[in-house]
Amino acid sequence: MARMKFLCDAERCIECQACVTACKNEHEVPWGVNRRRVIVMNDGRPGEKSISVACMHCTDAPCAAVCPVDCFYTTADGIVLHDKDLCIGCGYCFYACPFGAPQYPQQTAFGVRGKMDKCTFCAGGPEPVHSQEELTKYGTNRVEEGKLPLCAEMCATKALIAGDGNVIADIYRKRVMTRGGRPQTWGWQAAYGDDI
Amino acid sequence: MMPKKIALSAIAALSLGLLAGCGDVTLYEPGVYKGSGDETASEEAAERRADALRDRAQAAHTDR
Repeated sequence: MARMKFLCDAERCIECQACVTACKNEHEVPWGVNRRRVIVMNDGRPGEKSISVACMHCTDAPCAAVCPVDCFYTTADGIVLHDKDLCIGCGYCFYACPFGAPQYPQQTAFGVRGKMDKCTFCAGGPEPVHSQEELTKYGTNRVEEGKLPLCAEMCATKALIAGDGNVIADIYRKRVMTRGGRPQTWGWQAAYGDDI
Repeated sequence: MMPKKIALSAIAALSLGLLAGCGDVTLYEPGVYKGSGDETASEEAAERRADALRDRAQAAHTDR
């Protein structure tokens, strides 16, 4: 069984923000919500690196563990999704997530949070496939069409890779062997533990 | 006025009836997804799309 994962090759990311733009455009994500962000480490100093971060679809997802209304579920191929009809916007998942993935649209005054929004690995949610409800609540469902997340597919330098964990690990391994140096699978240990 | 014994018996019977209703009722099952079903989350659906996604990953991410 395939196990879907994200991997960002920090040696290749050029901080162009194309993944962020692609995600927002594809899923019509509202203002104030970024399902994907580019983080710069050691900004302006030697050894500066940038990585693209979103929900990593963890093996033992901490967001699901702390959710008081149990609105999270994991697909058979490891994609962590949630039901917005159940979500109460409590914010527990945000505190639990090691990647800061959960986002909340500000709906009213005084900073009241709306339903949580996060990366779906372009796999929609618990609504009929390609329905208007799915598009409105979760965005497009590319995975069901046999396509990978758009952020990874349109990455110009192929820094962000997504797909079956075995396939992308193999691709990354070949890169590291070709260019030398040590592999830096940023976030993999936190997200997937020993399941690497 | 109702005799004390009859009143106590009636209260006991009523209490037993109320408690019996709590027998097999599960109010909350922690850690279990409570939302609506997703047809694309099943193993069959994952198997169906696995090959296409694997080919897509090879095509999209491998250096040319």
